[in-house]
Amino acid sequence: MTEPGDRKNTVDFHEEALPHMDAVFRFALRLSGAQDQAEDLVQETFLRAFRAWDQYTPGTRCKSWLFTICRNVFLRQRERGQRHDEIVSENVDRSTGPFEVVNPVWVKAVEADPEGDFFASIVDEEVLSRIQELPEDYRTAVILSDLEGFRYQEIADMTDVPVGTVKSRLFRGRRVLQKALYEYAVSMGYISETREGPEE
Amino acid sequence: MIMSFLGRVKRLLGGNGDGHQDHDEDDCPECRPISCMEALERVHEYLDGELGEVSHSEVEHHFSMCQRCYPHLRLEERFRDILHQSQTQEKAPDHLRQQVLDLLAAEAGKMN
Repeated sequence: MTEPGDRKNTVDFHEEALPHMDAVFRFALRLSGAQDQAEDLVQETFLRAFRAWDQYTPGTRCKSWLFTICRNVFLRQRERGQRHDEIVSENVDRSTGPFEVVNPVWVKAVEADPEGDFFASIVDEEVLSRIQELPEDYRTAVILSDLEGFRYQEIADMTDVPVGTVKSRLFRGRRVLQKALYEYAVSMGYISETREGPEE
Repeated sequence: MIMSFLGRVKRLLGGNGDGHQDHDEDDCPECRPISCMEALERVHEYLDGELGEVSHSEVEHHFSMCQRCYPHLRLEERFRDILHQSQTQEKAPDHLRQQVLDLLAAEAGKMN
């Protein structure tokens, strides 16, 4: 029987898990929003993964397995000492009921800038900052789908929720983000605010 | 007079609650087999590549034919583009890499 500390397992771990360190670091950074916390998360993630390496099936989705561990560590740490800004970010309005099928933000944007050229003026830091302001469950779904390219089923497995919940979180997270970025673009003059009322 | 896209959509939003009826009344036959509402409902799954082949083709056809819905698809695409571009290729710092290697070596030592 092999143990995590066996030489072969150590070699396997180094070959299969460690190449994902950059991706885990970026994920940890997006989750936590702080470099020092992200580094702690990465260390804890790889330590836990190494200890549980005998439970991992070689050749399966190592990256998503590591991301799952990383998020679980993050959530446990957050439970222990939830930061003030995290609590504030959780106050994003979730009580508006179902969103309209037609996106009200696009309704506004389409008149002034139907090609969405205003997006080109928004710098990456602003986008990442707005992602950081999303509630954790929305943020995780958006990061895993839009930044990391995972499938709905993979995200469902990683976050231990049904696929329908993943879709809902993505839909809502994207809508909140779109509204925030649109309002930022208006405030910066990248796009003109359209007037109210239907046009004939 | 041809009503602008904005006017139609705003009428839809302020129409009969969920607006399905108004929008469906405005549907152009060439945009079918699915309505504007059905296309817009599936836009995320369409862009995420999560629709089956038939459904994907239906949504694709709708957006290619419907001048009212196409700008919404375009804006969603631009939004996805900037999210994707924002994913910087940051690398784990060298000192972190070394710390992880040290941790693993210590852990392997404890296990043996």
